[in-house]
Amino acid sequence: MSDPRDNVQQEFLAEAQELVEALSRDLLLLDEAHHRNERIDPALINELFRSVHTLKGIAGMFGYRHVGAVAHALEDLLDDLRLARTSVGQQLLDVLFDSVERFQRLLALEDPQSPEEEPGVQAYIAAVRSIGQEPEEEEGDPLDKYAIEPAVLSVLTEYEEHRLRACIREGLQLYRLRAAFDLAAIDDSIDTLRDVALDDAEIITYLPSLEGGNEDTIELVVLLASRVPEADLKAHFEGRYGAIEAIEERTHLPTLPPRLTSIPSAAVSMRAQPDEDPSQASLRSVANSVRVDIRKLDHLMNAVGELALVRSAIGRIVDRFKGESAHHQSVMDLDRIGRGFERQLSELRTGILDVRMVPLGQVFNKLARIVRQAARERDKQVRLVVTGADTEVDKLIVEELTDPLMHLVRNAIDHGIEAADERTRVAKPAEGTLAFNAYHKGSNVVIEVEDDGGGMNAHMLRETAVARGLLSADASHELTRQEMLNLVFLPGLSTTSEITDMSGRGVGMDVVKTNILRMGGMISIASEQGIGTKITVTLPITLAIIRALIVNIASRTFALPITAVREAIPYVPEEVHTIQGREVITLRGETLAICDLARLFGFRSTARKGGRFVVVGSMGNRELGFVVDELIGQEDVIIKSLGKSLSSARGFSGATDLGDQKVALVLDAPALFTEYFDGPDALQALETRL
Amino acid sequence: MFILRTERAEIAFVLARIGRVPPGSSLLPCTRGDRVAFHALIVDDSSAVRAFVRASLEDAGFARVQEAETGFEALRLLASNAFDVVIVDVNMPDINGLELLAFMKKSPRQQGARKILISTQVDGSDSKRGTKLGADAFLQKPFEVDELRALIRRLLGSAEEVSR
Repeated sequence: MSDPRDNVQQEFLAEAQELVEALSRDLLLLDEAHHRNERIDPALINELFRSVHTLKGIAGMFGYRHVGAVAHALEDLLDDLRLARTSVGQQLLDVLFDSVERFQRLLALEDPQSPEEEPGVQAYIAAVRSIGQEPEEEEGDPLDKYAIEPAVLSVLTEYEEHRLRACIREGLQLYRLRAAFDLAAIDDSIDTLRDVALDDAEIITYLPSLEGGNEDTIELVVLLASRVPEADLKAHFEGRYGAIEAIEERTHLPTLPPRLTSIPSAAVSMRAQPDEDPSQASLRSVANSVRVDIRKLDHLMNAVGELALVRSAIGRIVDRFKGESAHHQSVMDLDRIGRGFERQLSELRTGILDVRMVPLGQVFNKLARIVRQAARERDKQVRLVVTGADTEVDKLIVEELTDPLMHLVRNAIDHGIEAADERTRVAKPAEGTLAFNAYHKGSNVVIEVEDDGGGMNAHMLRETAVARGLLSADASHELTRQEMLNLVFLPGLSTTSEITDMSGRGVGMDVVKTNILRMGGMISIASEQGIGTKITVTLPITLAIIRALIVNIASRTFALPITAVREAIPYVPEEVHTIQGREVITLRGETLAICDLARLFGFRSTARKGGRFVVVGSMGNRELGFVVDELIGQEDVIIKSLGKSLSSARGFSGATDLGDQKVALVLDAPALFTEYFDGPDALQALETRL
Repeated sequence: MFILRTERAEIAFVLARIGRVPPGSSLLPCTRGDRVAFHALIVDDSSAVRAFVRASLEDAGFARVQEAETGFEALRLLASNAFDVVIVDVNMPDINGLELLAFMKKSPRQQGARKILISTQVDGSDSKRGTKLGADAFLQKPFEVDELRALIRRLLGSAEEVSR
């Protein structure tokens, strides 16, 4: 028999990843509450505990020894925390934050048992263990004070028992609520109950009982602790949620406790509230979601693409027979059916695309952790402001986006935001601000990373580029300020920390740019010295399907992503001027560089003179006119990879099937922009041009 | 790793569009080849554990394995199905595994069910409580495939005896 683990390994990794993300999210909340001196919600601590507890369990089962060992140590620590044997402090928070990165690294190991990791893991575990404290001796069992049925106590887990004790110690009164729940809507009803109870009570547990239940309903006995007097709770719960009664404190020797089941069943059925609060959705979304491998969605999307081809084939048949009166009615019927088919198809496509979308908040949460960590390392005060966390973008883009954004954040804190005393000296608030803003702009998503730090020194950048031999001194004097700032993206400019520290921006901006371009995006930079820096990343919302403008160049068909197209205008050869060896036209008073695609690809244009068009492309803050022979129309296309043998072909992001056995190459707009403005070799072009 | 969590409703929408059966409507066959049609339920809030146990059970010849992520989901399934084997984790939010055991003990539908309790606890107090509440076996997490298989074989054997 095969090991069933092989097949479910992916499931393990996905869940482990989710648990680590949840851990990270909850830690940020804990950190925030701690720094604001707020009361720490026991539910939050319990969530943290549950995450590492589950992680420990599954890591052991799937052979991730180190992950299991680290999770085990943290589990003990968090257990101490939730049972109030230790308290939240800076050292504890640091150790916990450290675990997030550690887990991610250990989960990514090729060999999860690797002995090389042993020393690091052991050292970390020792650090965790040094925080935990010995439990204090407890005086007597507070549970003895109450007449709680043994039947109830026997089904409590250790934690539930501890919570019960803690609540009694804190002086809360215990209550027993009985209510019948509709089985189909039980989650909703419990959510409602929890909402009502949470402010003034803690729910210890829910005990399902067989009394009064049938196939559709079940009666639950809810054990809760609250400070609210019995009369008030009765007023709140009685009638609406079922019968509630206080569990009496023993006043004399224990008598035979009343059996749970002997309480008159005054239970009232609870149904889900029809108009639900949208904020509730998040509570249930986990239970109502499934995990999907994104490749399966790509497969579905391909099937949709094939269906679209079938649809256009039907359309062509309809067109062919339209003139013939013999089958007029049938042709009209077929036409109508074809249209219905198209509507459903477009709904299906939207549905699949929706499934792929995830909120950018997922990335922002990771970044928030980096911000906290980097600020601590650099001993700087940084406030994080996030807008548009619910902006949705393709899952694949989110995955690819994390690294470049992480880089930008590190740079902003390492080199942008000044130390507190320096900021005070220049009359800025001691606490620096880092902002992530995300929003949709057409079919693009824009992400801005903005800081109110020292800004970039454009002249310093230029001098650095000259000093490193990337640019001749003569050429450097002709650069505009924006061009000087853009030098930061040159490979080889910002690789040494001592130089970048002076220039005010950090390491590896060329790598960031390459990553963004690879996703079909653009990156631009704006910076004022003494005021701050804003980096703007523009990306397509999805990579799965794009709307494209289909054009003809020298009798060949090409697709140009519509996200890169601003408008199309007739091409008038007489209006073309040449400035510094580049062809330009004037559009509404602005100079627009143009690029003859037929010439660029080495074709001979077949269009008659004057019949051509300029497609105005826009990427970030740059514009470029592409000269094409003919505009055919807009179409949704699915980009297919060109395959390995053609992967070196520049300027094309793939090919697409247009139906009718026609294939079109998809133009890679960002690559064309870079090729045109920066040349095949950006450095060389800069030199020859200047 | 490009795995994403997505709303079930969205998947159901997509499936409905392409005419497949939406999840939740169980049209699974109750027999598989000449094997006995055992019906199992696994209750655990970890999807990796559920997937692991499911794979092990299916290997062991179970025709139908159902999963519940929460105690509430389990209650729903327990109310309308008679299971041969029920595997429950002790530590779950809301309704815990012990409470489910207590419920099954009283439930007429589940009198034939073999109950396995799983827990990470080492000191054995979960195991003791579970046994009192009618658990037939206890598995300590993390457990090995062989352990689970041996346990299932043992339980299946005794279940067949009972049915005879």
